[in-house]
Amino acid sequence: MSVGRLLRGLSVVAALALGAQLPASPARAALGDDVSVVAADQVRLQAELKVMPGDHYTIHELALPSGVRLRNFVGDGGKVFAVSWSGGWRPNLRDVMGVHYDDFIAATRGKRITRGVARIALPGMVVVMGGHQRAFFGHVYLTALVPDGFLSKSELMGGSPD
Amino acid sequence: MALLLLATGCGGGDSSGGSGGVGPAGTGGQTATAPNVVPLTVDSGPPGVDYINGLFVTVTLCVPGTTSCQTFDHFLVDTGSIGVRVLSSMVTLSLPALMNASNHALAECIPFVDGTAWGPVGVADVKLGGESASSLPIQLIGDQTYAVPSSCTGSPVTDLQSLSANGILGVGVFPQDCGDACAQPASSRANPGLYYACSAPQSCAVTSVSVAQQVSHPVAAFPVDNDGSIIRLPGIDAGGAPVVTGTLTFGIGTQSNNGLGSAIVLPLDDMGFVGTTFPPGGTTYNSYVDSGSNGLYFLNSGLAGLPLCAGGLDAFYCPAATANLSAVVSVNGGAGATVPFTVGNLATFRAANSAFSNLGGPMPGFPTDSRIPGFDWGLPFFFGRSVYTAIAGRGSPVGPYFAF
Repeated sequence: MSVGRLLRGLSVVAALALGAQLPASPARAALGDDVSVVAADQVRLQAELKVMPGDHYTIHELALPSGVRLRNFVGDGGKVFAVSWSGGWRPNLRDVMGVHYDDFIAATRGKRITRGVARIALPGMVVVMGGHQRAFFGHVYLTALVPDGFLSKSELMGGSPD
Repeated sequence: MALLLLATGCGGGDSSGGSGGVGPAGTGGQTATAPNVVPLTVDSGPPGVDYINGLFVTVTLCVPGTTSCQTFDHFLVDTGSIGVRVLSSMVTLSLPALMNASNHALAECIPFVDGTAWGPVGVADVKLGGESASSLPIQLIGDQTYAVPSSCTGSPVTDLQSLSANGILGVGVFPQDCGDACAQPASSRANPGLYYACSAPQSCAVTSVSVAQQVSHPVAAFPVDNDGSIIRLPGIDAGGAPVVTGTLTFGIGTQSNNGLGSAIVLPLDDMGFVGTTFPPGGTTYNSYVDSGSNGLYFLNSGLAGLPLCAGGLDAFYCPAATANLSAVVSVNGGAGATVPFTVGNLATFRAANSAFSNLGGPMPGFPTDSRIPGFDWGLPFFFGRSVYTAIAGRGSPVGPYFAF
């Protein structure tokens, strides 16, 4: 089985460098931003905010009126190192990825789309997306900001239902 | 790039022609001779695409109320989406645009797994075998009449290279692709913003669209046999097959050829999920059945007990020997159906084949969000089965459900 044949069908691997600087946009809590803008997002998106402590990180969850759940994973340094989403609709990816959105588009534009689950690895950033119509999920994280041990524990699946 | 093995009747004549077929014609022994049955093919896709585990059908679109029609091979059959979407670059017909009450053209920004299709909504008569959906709203993917709005995010799907099919036949469980949410006022945060009204090529804004004007399920719009559909594919050898043929039957329990029989009915929740327990007696995860997913995507390497492939193929499992596994698919953890499945070693798959019943890979995600499903039962699940997809609010028992 050729590598190229399957990769075109199922994932996109890009070779694109991410900039090291992470300027925060003022009113959108996006990847790499300071946690302080989550509160602004709560107002802008008319969302309910719930804060849940974890091991060396805190989840700031926004429940949107559309039913979408956005989770901002905030490290001890106060930066959003990962965002996950789930719900009937996919969120605005520009809002989720912030300054990294253009890199994501540049890496995936013109590539074959995937059906099922997509894992897109860029240098410094990993994007995972999946779902079907009326049920989408995914997450994106910055590898340099992820706390030690987080991925080995959290790239587990699902857990038990609510 | 592997050679193509074409088995479909490309472009020639009407869709009811029925290709000859390779191997047994599905578990039901069906052939595509009845008006409510059309042939399905798993092959390498349109020329140059080299698809793995793509399920395709031939679709005819017509200018509403006329005999001006065009037939397209290689529409992907997708129980994970709703509605008919065609690459506008393939269309030679002049299909009318769908206008709203303000006489603005409607367009849609529809997310797929990792891409987004933008394009206007058109109206067509959709013909599948002997069945027809009149004046159905469909999407014309990649039509550049209206510029993509900045709020329509995601990697653009515009052409054969990015779509890998000539179109999509979405035959999932909902009557429309969006439903009541998109009929909310555009100013409401409850409106997910899929539909746009375009007053000029550079001026499209999120709008409210009635369910009647949304991109809709073609089967739900048939005059008969409109409560769902059945995908029947034969079982295939562990080593895969170059081409597989089966059938798509319209209606459930409406004709002598589409009864549920002894199939197990699995009602779905409002996100289209059922439960999957893995291993049997173990943990129950959200899961879904999706003919448009080309593999069985489930759990992760640790929970599945399967190693990932090396050499840049870590989106798949590569067990040293074929793994024989089973899970229980059920509703709310109640009684369900045991599903045996196998995951093979991708490194040993024959490149000449396009259909594999044992292609599996991990479903990565955050454990802290339990709404993320643990199993995507993709096309390998369909081989050797009759899988029923019932539309919400239709039929008896009433949909939505999957049954097999």
